[in-house]
Amino acid sequence: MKTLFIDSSRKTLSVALVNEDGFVFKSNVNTYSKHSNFLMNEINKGLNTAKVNVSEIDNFVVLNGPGSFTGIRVGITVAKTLAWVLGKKMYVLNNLEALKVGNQNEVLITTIYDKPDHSYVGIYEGNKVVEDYLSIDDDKLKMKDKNITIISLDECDFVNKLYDNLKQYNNVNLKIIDDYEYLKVINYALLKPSINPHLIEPIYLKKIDAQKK
Amino acid sequence: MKDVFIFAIETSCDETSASIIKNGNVEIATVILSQIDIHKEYGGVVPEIASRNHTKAITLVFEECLKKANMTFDDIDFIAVTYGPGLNGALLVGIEAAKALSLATKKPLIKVNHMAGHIYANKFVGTFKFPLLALVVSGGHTELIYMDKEYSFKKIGSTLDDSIGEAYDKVARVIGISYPGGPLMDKLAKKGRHTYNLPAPKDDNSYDFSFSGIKSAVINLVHNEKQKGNGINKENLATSFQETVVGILVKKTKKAIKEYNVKQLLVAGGVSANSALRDALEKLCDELNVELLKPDIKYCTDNAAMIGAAAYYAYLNGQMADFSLDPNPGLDLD
Repeated sequence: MKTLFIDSSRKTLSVALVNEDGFVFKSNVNTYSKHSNFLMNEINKGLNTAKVNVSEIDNFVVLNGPGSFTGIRVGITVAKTLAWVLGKKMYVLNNLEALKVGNQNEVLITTIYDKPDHSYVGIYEGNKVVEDYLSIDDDKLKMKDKNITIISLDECDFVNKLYDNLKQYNNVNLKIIDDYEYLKVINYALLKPSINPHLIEPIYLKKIDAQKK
Repeated sequence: MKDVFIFAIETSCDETSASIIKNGNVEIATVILSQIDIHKEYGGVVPEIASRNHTKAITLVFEECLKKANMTFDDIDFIAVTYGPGLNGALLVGIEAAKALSLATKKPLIKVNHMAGHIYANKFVGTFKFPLLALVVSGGHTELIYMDKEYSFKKIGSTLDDSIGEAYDKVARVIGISYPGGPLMDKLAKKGRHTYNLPAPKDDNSYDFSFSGIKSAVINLVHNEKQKGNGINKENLATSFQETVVGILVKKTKKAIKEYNVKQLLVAGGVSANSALRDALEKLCDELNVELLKPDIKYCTDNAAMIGAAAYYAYLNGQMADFSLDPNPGLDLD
């Protein structure tokens, strides 16, 4: 069983092919946000080196945001086109949920940085899920007497402020990670129901200026 | 010779389109999904929203096109895609999908210039006779292009500021017509008389155009009349504007036809659907005894059929692309 994984939501573009034994290939490229120059080349190069034909891929897993609007569209467009034309299964996972994979606590908070006072936030408490673009002062981020783990890819102003706010009334653990735990993330995504490639689109969470007016 | 089937993709602005074209001039099937109703709300195309809708629709448009043609990718020889000019984020979606299709189906990829596509929409109505002159008029372009052979373009004149399509849209907005203003202005102009005196834009010996002056003149005229408490006769203003801009297009086209001694005039681009322009060019070509090719109205706006037609000649011209293909929003014709 071969699964192609794509995450193009950040400055670093990640492409990997995995099977039951782990990675067949994996590439992490800093594309300086020019993912379109790199993604198809990385996939092609990886498949050629591993001597795998594109038609041998069984599943496609793609992270569908939030993050760079253009970046996510590159990954989603490639993944959905490949899955559709090859007639293969497609699985999606959003980046906030992907960040929490492998962690356990009463409350898990994941963040993806946008601005010092506004960022993408995932809050996971039992079955309760919030995935949104939130202000640092948002009521959803006001908690008391909880055991909380904050997971973030960057140590940024937003995360530091959030940590300072929450630790006044809660037991908080801040976890800054270098990267997603790809194998765990891929296996987690594969447990979800597969989705018709036609229906897959990025999640943006943030409104653009024209929509606000 | 074996027939060549091209699967063409166009996403340079707000139309998501796919088409299958045989030998560069036979349309097998075309699907066009227009976002015009979505962008109407904002009074013009919002690039980010256009890109979002392309991503949403792209594979559905592909599937619909194959279904319409009753074909599979096994029947296709090449994948072709518009790589510029246009909106970067919008072009990107078509290009990434095209590269993915090329990898999955092992069909070579052809890159196509969107404006060449507009010119080659004329392949569906007639044979090109060289040398020819193409008047390209759209929302982004106003150009006179000289061609002495297939897929070879020499720009002899272009707009120095606004395109003719932009001028139409802006003037339409000032006189209170909704987006897209061009087609509605054309309708309105048919009902009016040329009563407003507007400055002829860049009425000189060059082949270049300028439409920002006449646009400002209309805006000022509307404001002044308003201040005086007078109303505007929209029909008459539309007629005056249309006659003035069509007049200058025809005048410069006539000069170029004569100087370059061309056998044919092609008109191309969204504004080539304009009835006054079509009529005036017909009259001009009759007078000069030059053949006129004008695209079917359905091929005047953006579509992948014209990209498939141009792609055949782009392929013969060696315009192949690899997986590094990137949008070129400001791509020129020459």
